[in-house]
Amino acid sequence: MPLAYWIFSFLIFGSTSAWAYPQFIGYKYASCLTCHFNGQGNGPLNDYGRALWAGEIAGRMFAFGRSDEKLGEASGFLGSKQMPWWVRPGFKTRYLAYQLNPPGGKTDFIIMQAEANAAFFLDKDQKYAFVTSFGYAPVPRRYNNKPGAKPDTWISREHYFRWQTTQDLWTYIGMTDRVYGIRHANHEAYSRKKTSIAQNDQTHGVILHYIKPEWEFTFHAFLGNLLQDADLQFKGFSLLYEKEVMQAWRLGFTALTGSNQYLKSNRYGFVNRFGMGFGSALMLEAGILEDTPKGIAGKRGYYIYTEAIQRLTRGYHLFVVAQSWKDVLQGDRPDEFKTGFGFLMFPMGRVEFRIELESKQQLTSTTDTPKDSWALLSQLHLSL
Amino acid sequence: MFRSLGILSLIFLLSGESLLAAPAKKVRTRTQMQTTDEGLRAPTSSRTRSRSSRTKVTTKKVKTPRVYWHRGAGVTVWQEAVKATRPPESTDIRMQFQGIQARLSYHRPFTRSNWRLAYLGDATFGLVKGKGTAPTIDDGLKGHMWLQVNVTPSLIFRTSRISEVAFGIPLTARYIDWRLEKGSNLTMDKGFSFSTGMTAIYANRLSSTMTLTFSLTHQYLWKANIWAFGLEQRF
Repeated sequence: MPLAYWIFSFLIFGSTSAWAYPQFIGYKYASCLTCHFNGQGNGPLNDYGRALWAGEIAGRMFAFGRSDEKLGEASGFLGSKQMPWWVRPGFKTRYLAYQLNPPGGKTDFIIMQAEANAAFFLDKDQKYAFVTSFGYAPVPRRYNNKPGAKPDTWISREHYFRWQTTQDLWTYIGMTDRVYGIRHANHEAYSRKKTSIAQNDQTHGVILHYIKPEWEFTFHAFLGNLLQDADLQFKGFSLLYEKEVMQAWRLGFTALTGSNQYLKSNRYGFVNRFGMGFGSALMLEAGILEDTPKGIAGKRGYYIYTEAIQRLTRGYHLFVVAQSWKDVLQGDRPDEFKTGFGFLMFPMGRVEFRIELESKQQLTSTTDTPKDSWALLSQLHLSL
Repeated sequence: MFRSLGILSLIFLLSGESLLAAPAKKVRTRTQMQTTDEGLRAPTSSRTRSRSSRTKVTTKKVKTPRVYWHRGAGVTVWQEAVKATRPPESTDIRMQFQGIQARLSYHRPFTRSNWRLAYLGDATFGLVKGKGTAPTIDDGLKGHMWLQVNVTPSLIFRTSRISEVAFGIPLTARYIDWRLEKGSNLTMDKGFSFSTGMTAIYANRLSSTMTLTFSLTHQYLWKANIWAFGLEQRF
């Protein structure tokens, strides 16, 4: 079955995004608003993003001689058929297969996401839009053996009203991901998982996103996920600032603070995205984590995320990732590292396939040597 | 026709000078065009030249160095099982190696190719630690120094103007200075050992002289997978 999956995965078609790829600064696209309705990235693509994906970034498998312009024109939900101006629907699904300690380790298959999304516009200039998604999300594994009610498996991960308030200011009101750091696709990365910006950490709030050609500033005030119990709702605010040092190079800082009835958290980080050549980029995010549970002494740790991605040929990228995390800045606490490399592939306009070999190590100051672990991961994204 | 021109252009671009191969490292022949006519005449193509009886062609070979060197430093970390013996028991202890690496490498590009041959010479030293888990061998070992040298013949392929991938076969010798307590009756293996394996390297150019490298090496004889990160400078 595992071998058949790997082969099948290479052959299947699908996908028009659903993820943010900040590393596309390598293609000279520094701002996520260029391609996404959500200016922070992820979520459905706008018309330009679909066309760009099909006509510039994705490979030409099954192009059948069509020009890039034709591929772009055929990238819509119904292909070349024009949709009504007031709606842009979409479907997407993500499928994960991973094997721990390959070869020979157990392979798990998970449908990570299967959802419908849509953007509705109140005007033809798309200054006023309502964007929503609804679909399936698997129950996190930590709930498998827990008694009591499980989280819903049918959820809306985002629903917000977008308003182009001025030429440079965009306002988002509703449920979105929290704004913090580099929003790349790997929600298991330390820079997302340990900062609580993972795939299920959406919140209701207001985002003010100010965009200039050479810098962007985003402020997010959030009230927590109002669909959660009140005592769990994480309230606070965050910000992200990026400045263009030179073309395709953005440096910035990010910060987040918030609390609920059990925990107060602060995050501070430095972000760097550097585009090189054509389709290649180097990203770095490093930051401090502060968590103070109610009634317990707080702890301060750090995280680092780096990724180098290299366009091998159109639609095919090699990437290398190195990460580090420590929960408490104390000498006797272990430093965890994850290193890996893989391929990010868009063989054609609606297909995305990612495969990665990742290793996890711990460095301790004692004689204990926790065993290194390996994982072979692959994701398949299909969407219309 | 356009596709052929595109392919030819791609071959030309890929085989042309790049930041990584610069400055000029290929043997080239410069052809200087001279005319016996008074006044100036623009350089002509070889076809035109053959038709012109008044064009005199001289050729001068310009030989430029083809090889160059890198020097660099980095860090490395891995886990490896080392046999520990306390008679009559013997067990493998999972040891963690951490080290600092210095590198000197010799690079020889192939003419008009994205490939080049390289010999990477590394000297690495560091500390090893581990703890036995067997009932009779539960010793904790820490702070034992090791020294390793290797030579890795490699083939490097330039994937773009600013990046490369390389594959090599490391030949490695290592010495571990086991300083065990007297009376412990414990002996550790691999005090002096050899290994070979395969290595894969990804290099990302940061500037005209500096390169960031990331490598994964599998040492067959040691049954170890070694990660290394480094920074190299061309000189």
